[in-house]
Amino acid sequence: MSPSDDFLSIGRITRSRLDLKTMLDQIVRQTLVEMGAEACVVLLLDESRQTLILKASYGFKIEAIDAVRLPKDTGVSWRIVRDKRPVSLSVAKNDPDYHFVPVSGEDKFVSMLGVPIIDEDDCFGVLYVQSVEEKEYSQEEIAKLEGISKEVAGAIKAARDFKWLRKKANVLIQLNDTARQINATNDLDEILRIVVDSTTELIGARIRITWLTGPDGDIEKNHWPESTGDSEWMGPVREGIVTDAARNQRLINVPDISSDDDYESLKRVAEVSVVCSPMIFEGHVYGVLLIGDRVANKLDYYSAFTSDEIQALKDLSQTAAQAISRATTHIRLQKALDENKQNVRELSILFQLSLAMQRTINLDDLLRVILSCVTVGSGLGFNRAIMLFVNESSNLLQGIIGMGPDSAEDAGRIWSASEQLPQDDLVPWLLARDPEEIQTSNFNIRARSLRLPLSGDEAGAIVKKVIEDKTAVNVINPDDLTASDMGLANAIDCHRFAIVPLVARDTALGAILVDNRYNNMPITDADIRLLTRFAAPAAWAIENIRLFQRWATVSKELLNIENQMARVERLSTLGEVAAELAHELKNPLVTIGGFARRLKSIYSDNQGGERYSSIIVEEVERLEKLLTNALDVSKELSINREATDINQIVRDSVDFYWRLISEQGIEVSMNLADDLVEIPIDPTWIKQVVINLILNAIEAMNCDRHSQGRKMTIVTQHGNNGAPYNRLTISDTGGGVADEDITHIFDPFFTTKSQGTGLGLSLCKKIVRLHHGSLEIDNELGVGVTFTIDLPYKAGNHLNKT
Amino acid sequence: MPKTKILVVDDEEHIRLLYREELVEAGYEVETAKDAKDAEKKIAQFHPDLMTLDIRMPGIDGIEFLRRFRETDKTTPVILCTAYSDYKQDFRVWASEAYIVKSSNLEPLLASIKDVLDKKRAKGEGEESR
Repeated sequence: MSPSDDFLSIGRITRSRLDLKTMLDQIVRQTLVEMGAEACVVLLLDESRQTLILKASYGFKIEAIDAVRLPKDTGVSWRIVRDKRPVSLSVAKNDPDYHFVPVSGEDKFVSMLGVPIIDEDDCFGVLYVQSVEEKEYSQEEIAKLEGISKEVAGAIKAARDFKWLRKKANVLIQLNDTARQINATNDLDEILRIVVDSTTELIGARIRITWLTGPDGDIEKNHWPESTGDSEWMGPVREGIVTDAARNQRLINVPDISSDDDYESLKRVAEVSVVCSPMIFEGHVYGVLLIGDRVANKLDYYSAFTSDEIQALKDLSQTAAQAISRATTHIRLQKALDENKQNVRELSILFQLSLAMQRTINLDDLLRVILSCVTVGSGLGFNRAIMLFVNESSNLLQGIIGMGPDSAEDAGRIWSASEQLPQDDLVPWLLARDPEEIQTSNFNIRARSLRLPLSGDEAGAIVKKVIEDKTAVNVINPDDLTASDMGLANAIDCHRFAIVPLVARDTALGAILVDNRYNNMPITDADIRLLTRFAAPAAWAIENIRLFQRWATVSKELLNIENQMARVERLSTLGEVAAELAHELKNPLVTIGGFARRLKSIYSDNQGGERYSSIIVEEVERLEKLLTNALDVSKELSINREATDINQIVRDSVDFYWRLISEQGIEVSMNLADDLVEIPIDPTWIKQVVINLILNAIEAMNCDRHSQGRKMTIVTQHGNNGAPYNRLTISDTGGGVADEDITHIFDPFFTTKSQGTGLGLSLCKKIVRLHHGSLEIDNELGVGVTFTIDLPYKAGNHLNKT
Repeated sequence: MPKTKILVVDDEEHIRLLYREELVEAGYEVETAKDAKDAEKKIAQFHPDLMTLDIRMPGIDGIEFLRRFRETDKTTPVILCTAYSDYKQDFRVWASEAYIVKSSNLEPLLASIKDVLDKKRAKGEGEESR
């Protein structure tokens, strides 16, 4: 067999597509034959180049593939690897480096020829042959073994390249797969879990921990799926290598923890090696991925990570960063979308509410609508709310109405009925919500008693700020309350609340106070923003109603003045007519009466003549008196005031008509106050008025259709509207006065009665007016009328002698 | 002793007749006038000691006539007569010596005339005695 044949046979083996192990087996057999040796061995360096491992042998009794491991610098083999030169030993055991491995075979071999397996500068291991005889190896033999070794080197390289490529491909597939998985979710925890799982499959790390960065780029949150929370021993790791990796945006590889001095804390998490990789996308660090302790194949043995694995980790980190970026962007977008939705919802509520407010023209109704909007769950949803108005004359912020449950039990009851704002008819719906309960609730009563000074020492800092600066105040922390604010906090029995001013025409006309006393929900900035938005149309609605009311009052006054003027005009016309009438009537009466008297004296001896003329004289006198009385309506009366007990006048007057009252079966109900102020009045005139009104009532009830339930009610009471006054009301059940007659009821000569002069009410009003008082009629058609006399205590009502 | 002369000024014929009869019967010498113009003429001819004057008359009314009369005559007493008391507050009636509301009963008028004349007489005597 020629050497070229030998190479040919070796070459045939190395070029065949056998797996590395089978190929090496065939090579050692062939080499044994080629070299005429008794044993042949291939030892290859492991990945870390720390150990020579037996990969193939022939000629030994015991097969120990992979089991024989030579630690670094042990034996002749390591010398060959180190020096990358052949070693030829005629008696091997005489060499100082000779290292006998008992399990590897018997001690029968004497000579040895070993060559390094080298591809260019890269040494993969050792190929050696042994012989049982002592032997000097020739140059030819050495060259031959070197030639075989070269073939082996080429084959190993090819096999490794192939394996590496296949592994690389696998890694890429795996990475691709991982990327697909993590891009399928927007859940950060899920993304990190997938990343961590794939580090096991892809890289074979025992330890896997992840962290996320906060908005400022600092490590904030740890997501290490196998544990929860950042236990004490993990802190230093996070502060050390993890923070460094994030800050410097650089991967940190610590292949051997024992020889590393920079990160002492790593021993807490791993035994051998750690790699810390920042998750970076577009220059931003989203987090850090830490792996540790490469698990060697099927063995409980940890090593460092290879450069390929580290590259895979880098790729994975980048993919993860991209996914986190996408997920956070998505979350942000979603949040923005939700906020937008919330805004749209709020605006639609506001729109509905402001429509509701505009439709209300009664102030009480409006305030209830406003507070309902503020407290109803589907509106602004605060637990309780109070409406406060600025009282400019006393410089107070004054509670007007409060709405909210009185107790936690109430709150549960009210909120258990989940309320939805109806799409339309909001106002009746809001107003129908237990109005009486609202009116009589303790909270409303408490709210209405609030009087918060806006100036002086007792003025609360918060209240002042709200009204003066026209800004909302949200008391989140009760410690922020100053001593001056404690009064308010104690009054509402809640130390967390917010106040928003009601501003119209650049003036704070009041404020809305809200709290969440029962569910203790914190009042957020968003709540305040919405309440402030809501307060603007509310303030305008209130201002509008106030303006409307002021306008209504003014126009009513104008109407009254107009009526009065019309009345005065009518009366003055009446006065002229009366004067004219008086002259026209008086002169004939004077002549008739005068001549009748003369006749009477002429006929003094004639029985018939004297009697007839007497009758004429008397009748004329009666007519003259009537005429004089009629004219007195437009004449000044003289009033003689003295301190008088009005109750006594009432009693006397009722006594006066007692017979008539009992004959007609009228029930008289008297409710006379005992705290009347003593007001100087003319008792004679006032008694005339009272008698007139009582007689009116009796006459009103004196017909058949009122035979049932004839009742006269007389009430006296004391009042004060800036000045003290006494009030006397006389009501009857006489069926009232027809609408067309009511405006004329105080006109002179007016009467609806079949009898009577019709002078009564006109004269009564005149008398009361001379006492600076008022006489009003309240007519309820079908029921009866109530006359109200108010007699004020005025400067002009002092005792005098007019 | 000559009778006291009274001029009755009234636009109503029957009133003038009634007053004349009553006053004549009471012992006075009576002349009547139907309006202010007539009254001026009668005053010039008759020189009354006292005048009763109706307020409401066509043409110049009683109050205006009284004002003009007082420009020349400050002493002759005048009694204003009216259908009712609506002129009491008019300060211009202060120029008269008395004010009465007309009535079919002439007693108040007679009493008032007597009263005014008594006062005038007392005043006149006082002047004479000086």
